[in-house]
Amino acid sequence: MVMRLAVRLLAGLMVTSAAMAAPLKLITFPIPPLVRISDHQAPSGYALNVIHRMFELAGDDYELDFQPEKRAIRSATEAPNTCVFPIDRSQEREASLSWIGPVSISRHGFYSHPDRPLTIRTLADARPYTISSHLGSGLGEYLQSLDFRMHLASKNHLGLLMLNAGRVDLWISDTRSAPILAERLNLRLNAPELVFFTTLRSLGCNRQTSPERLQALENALLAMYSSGELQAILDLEP
Amino acid sequence: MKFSPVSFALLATLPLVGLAEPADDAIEHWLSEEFQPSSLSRDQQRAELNWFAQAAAPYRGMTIRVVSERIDTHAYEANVLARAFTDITGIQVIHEVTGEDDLVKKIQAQMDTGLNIYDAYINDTDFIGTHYRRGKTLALTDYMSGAGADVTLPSLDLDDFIGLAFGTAPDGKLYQLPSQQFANLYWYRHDWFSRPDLQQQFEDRYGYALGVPQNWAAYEDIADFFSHQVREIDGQRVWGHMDYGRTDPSLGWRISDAWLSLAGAGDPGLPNGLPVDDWGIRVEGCHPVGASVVRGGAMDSPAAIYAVETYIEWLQRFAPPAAYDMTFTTSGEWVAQGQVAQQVFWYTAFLPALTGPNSRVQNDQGEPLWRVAPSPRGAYWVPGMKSGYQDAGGWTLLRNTPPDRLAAAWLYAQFTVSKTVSLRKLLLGLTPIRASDIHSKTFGDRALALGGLVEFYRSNARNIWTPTGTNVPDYAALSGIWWQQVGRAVRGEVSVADAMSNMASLVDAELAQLAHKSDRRCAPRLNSPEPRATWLARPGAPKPAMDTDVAPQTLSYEEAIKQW
Repeated sequence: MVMRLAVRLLAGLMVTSAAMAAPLKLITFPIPPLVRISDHQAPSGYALNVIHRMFELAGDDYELDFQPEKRAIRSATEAPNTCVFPIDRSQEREASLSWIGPVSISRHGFYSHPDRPLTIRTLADARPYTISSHLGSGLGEYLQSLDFRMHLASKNHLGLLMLNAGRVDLWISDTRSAPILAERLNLRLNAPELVFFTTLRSLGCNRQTSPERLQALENALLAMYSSGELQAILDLEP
Repeated sequence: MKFSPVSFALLATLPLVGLAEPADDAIEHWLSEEFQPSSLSRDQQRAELNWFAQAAAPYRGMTIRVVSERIDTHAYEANVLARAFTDITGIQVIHEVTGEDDLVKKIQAQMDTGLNIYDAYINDTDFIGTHYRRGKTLALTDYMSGAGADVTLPSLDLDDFIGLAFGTAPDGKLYQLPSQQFANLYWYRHDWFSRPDLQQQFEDRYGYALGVPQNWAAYEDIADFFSHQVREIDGQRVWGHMDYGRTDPSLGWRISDAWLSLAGAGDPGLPNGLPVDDWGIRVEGCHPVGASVVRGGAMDSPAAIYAVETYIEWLQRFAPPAAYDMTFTTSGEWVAQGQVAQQVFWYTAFLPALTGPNSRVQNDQGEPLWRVAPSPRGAYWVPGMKSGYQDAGGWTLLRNTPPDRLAAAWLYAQFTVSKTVSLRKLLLGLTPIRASDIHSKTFGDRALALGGLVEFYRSNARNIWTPTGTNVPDYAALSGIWWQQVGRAVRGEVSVADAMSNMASLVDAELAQLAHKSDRRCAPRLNSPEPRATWLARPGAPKPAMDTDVAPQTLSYEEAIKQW
């Protein structure tokens, strides 16, 4: 209770000139359960909830837009007052955006076809195989830079379809998203052969965004962590 | 070399309670197939691995997650040692390998959020000032004698580690146990430098012998010679200098690791310079008091500006155009292509690329065409100052890790640095951590192939090439300022003087913020600003502008490495 009160007080203090500025344009993309987007319902998902609460605490405002992940990243890189979430923060991307996060910790796994299981004990074991991921995936780009045999589909679920059709040996996906996508596509999916990498999913904003505005959002997010408000949302898998 | 027969006698007497046969099989398999050579006898290795199998029994079936930066040594740990550890102990290890800045962001996130993201980190000891101050990091000294006593390897032999001081805080406690170390050394093509025709051409043009440069003036002449005079060797374009300039986090540590310190921006005194260190931060007692000249620091001093101006000028004048868009990783491997004559500071972590099958810098017998030597120094450098940078990646445990996960991670950490595996790891990754390995006959036998690395690590030089020190109170928060400001200067958006002034102001502002955090030990206490001229007139750093046009000096390789 005391902590909640502290957060509210902090929120009050954080209402700054940001409230007077034009809303930031936030671009996101479907990545359930972090962000769910459908034609019939308002967008939802726990990463969206985190973002919404963070803006609320900071006394700032945003407008939501939707684009495929790769295009969303490019838009935020090029357009002022534009941000993208929840994307993998990585050293390769560090200089192109200003970052606030993490809004989610993602574990990523190698998935094999249920009828063609593979033994993957370390990342090196995956090197002989063809692997699907999707455009905009920080991890897909990372493995590509390490000369893994990557196929980057335009959307995450297409990577799963490639696995199902036998066009690749492995699919990499956020372990929270993978079973949801498989269920939606009515496809069988085993547990990942190996959960091999962790990324900090964050909000990445155009580099020209006001540092004071970003600092207020960052402070709000840290306050959410300190208060325990985010603990349930970001409950980590072991 | 320190050998501890008592520890192994103790290991041999431990009852093998509950040690399953698969563990025995795994131990024999890994001893035969991988962990040779070793500074231990086979029986001693077996005893050590048996101890791991026993100590890990309560944690069998657990999966732990650790992370380290992307160099060959850690790839070996992730792909081979993690697998061996799982076979022997039943604890599954996910050992992630990622960019250094990515690792920095992850450990920062765990400290900021309190989430158990990883169970252990191999984090550069550049963070020692952070770990000591924030109180989020487990003091290994306390853990080994307290809650972690039962999972601490009796034959760990801490005295055998060469870099223990780097992971030890001002309170005398060890916070980071080195898993790998590599140095930043001058690198050059010994075969080209030894050619009589090139020696003659160089002497005719510059009036002194082509050799290992002792100062930046000589380095610049040699860079000019190969980039602009020689231009081609054996039909291939060659370059007298190599560096990297992409606006990327690794640009920051290129400058903070070495450029300022070797320019001579700080004060004499090891490991980092006192009272002004190699970042240009002034410290009083254990309290950082400022980075800008007006607060007694040297980050925007004439020496620091000279360092970064030289870095940019050489990048533009002498390096291959592609270097502009390169990073730590891409440039480090580039010298193996055989087009570079010298590099002012080269990270020896990339040695495996030079000795590998695709290297163009070794002869038909596999002997190196290159050598490493002490880096040349800038005009402000004086004896008694650190002579270069050394990276020490140390096992680091955060206090918010659940106890059972902590114990399992500590077991894995010790496994990767145990004497059973460390010599084999050294021969593959070339990043030494143990005196017993460095002084082994096996490592010595590779001296010729390693172009000076063995000599470096067998000398006292390994103590004078030092990591970032304890003056830096929050490495994650401050390191981003370096690459962002230097990047602007590289791109020509601001002058170097303005970039360094901005950088010093931003660092001061960050120090001011840290000063208000009540949970920090040795928190910053900013000096009040005084006129710049006042500080520059006082003895030591920040030093006033001086004439940087000094006489060039070179030495033969044999003479140059006598400094080690």
